[in-house]
Amino acid sequence: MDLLDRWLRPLRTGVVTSTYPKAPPVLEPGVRGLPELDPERCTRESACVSACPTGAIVLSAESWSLDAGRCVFCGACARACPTDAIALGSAVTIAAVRPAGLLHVTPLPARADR
Amino acid sequence: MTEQPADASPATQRLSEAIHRTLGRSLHVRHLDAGSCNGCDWEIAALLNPYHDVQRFGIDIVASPRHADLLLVTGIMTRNLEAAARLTYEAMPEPRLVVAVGACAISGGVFAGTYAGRDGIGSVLPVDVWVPGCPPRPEALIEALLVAVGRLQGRQ
Repeated sequence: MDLLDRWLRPLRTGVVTSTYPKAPPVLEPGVRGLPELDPERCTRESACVSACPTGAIVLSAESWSLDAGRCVFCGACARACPTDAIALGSAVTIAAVRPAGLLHVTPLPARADR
Repeated sequence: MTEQPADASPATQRLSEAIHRTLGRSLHVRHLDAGSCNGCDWEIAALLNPYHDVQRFGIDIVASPRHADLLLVTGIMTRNLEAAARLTYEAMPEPRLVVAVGACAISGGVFAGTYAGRDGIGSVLPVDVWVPGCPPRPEALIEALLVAVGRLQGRQ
């Protein structure tokens, strides 16, 4: 009876196929997507730049840019950030048709104290 | 045209229609491991499981580049694989597409600067779509195939 039940179980399971691309991808908890910066909290200490193992992050006076083609989604930038301004988001479908499309630039607000 | 399920989204329909128009009823994919750590390769293998199931789009993975319309390349392009990768690309019938899968295939990833290979496959093969990730999720690969088919239309 147990064996029969095991054979019949797949018939009762129903459709398991993902709804992507009809709906956004369903991510399990803990999946690391593209790192995102909160520009308001960024203090420009460039701890993320030195923590990044592949040199994917470039910090300038105007912007924080991340090369998704170099990023390995390890989260070292988020852990290194002293103000917790970086979080690994949920963006995983980020294919590009040219290398320039891999660059994700977050503009930074002009600093008042400089 | 094959029949569409009644609840197919516009994106799904566009993908299926584009594949049908340009390639008959199928997009055949050949996977080439050019020095990858096998992370990306497992994500490609996951495309065929019942959950992601790319065969619902008419996409299938084939055993030879001679049967393929699209080449999925993973890894940094090691020196040992360079000649083989060129031969693989030349063995594919026109029109052919190349998709760079993962940070290694795009920029070398954590192996960038190694003496044993190139920093990414872009200097050896003409890449049409770049898929970031380490490894990219299967959804990202499905998206890349969707984008690649859009490119195929523009090329003809």
